[in-house]
Amino acid sequence: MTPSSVFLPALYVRLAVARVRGQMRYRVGFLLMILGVFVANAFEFVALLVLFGQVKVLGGWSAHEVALLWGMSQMSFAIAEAFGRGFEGLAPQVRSGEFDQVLVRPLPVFFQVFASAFEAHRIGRFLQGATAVWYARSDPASIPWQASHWTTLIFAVTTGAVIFFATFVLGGAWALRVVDGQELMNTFTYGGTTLASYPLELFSDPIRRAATWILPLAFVNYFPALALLGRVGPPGMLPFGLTPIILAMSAPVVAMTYLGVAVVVWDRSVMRYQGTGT
Amino acid sequence: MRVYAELARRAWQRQRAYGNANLAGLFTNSFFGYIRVVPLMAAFASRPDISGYDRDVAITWNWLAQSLITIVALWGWWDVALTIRSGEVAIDLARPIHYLGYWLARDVGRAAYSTVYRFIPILAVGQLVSGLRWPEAPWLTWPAFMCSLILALFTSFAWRFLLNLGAFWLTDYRAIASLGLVATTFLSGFLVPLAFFPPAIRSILEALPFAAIIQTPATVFLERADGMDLALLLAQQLGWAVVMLGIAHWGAQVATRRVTVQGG
Repeated sequence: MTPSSVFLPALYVRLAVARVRGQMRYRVGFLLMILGVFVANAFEFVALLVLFGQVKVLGGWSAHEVALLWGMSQMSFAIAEAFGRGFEGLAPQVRSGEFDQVLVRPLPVFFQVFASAFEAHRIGRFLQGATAVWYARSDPASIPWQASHWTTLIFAVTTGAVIFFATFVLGGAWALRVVDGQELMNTFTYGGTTLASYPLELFSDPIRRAATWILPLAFVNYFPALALLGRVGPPGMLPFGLTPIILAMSAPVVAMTYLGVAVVVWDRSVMRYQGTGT
Repeated sequence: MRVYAELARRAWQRQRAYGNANLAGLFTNSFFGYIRVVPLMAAFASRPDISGYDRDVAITWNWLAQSLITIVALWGWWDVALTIRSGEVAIDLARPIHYLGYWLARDVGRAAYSTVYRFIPILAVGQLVSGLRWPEAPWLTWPAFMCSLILALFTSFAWRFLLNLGAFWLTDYRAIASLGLVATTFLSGFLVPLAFFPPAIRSILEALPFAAIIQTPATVFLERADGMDLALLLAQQLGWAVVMLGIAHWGAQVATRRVTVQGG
């Protein structure tokens, strides 16, 4: 039995509900946190719109089209952040030795870390992403969406959340091995969502490749957005010459594979964990 | 004065203790600098000039903003608030030195470290990745930039200090104070140059103290103002630094008069 092979949904739900209820106790503080997260992301979005106030297109993408990428990336990341916070906040626990207590409890380590945090206020980021998608849909030039488009969107956001969540798990594994590496992981988590907020085709070749084959950001929103917008992307952008629709449909497979890899890496890191001696 | 110099030196050393974390942070800053420069470069593909910024100026602004933020610490600095929560503030207030000066000295030490180990390396990365526009009149621009940098630090310090003082009144200060800092990244010209805003909004933002934190030093470095304009710009920045430090000093007095140290 690997440490992560057991998942206890009922217990997780109970813990998560208790946590949300606890956070709701300080209702004003809770609402302020939601507002804070929303506004923080809104500022960045408005900054993007300010840039679009000066130019019509960025690499052939209109403001509305970039807003779709932006919104999808933010919504996925918000879900991943809410569920993955336990892995993200691991570094201080490793440093203080608190993490050692986790290891002696008779519950799977993965589950304990996963269940150790649930941040409901991340819904602020989700709502900001939804606002961006709403703005994207307000484009008079865009094709009308049918049910299949909305299904694709929901599917993509969920898949994207799994990809970002797996990145948080990898970050947790990294924290078990390298105590001071927290900020480096921010590059891949927060940096990843920022990168995915812009058209991937704008970036240089090594970054495009890494974002397709290593940390599959392209599957979070770029391929699904191409499909939704009826765009094809520049030559060489789509692996094996597949269409955006097929790539968007294969995203769940990519996401689950990536999550699988992350969990294996996590397990190995737990096995090899040595502690800091504090 | 010697005690303040010593405090600054200690703050520098404290930063040095986190060598690896600093290196990781440097990597993150550089990566964000790259992510942000790419859309900016794409914007200049369709037109050569945006509000008087050409491509090279805009690219340099991007890397400057990315590196300046490590000096002015807009990502968060809650050292004062933490001492208020823990009750340590009582000891700090009992020291025979100026309370605001005590924190300013420490922040100068931190900022000096950031200048050497973050600001300069990030600019170097920018030079490697996309090439930077260096000052054409170095003998005027570099000294002016140094002055502007120090004034930017003072203004930012005073503003952060005021946000930290919120902890004296509110237990939930953190959400509001964080919002204050995030707003500053927008209002200071960190996320997008103030020149890119519509004219009416731009003139308001340029008149606010937040512009003194990022936009003004960037403008000086990019040589967007010369002669009398430059003098006026620095005078305005000096004015804000003095006013903001004054408010911070007054705020500290009001706050500490009503100090009730939390137990535990």
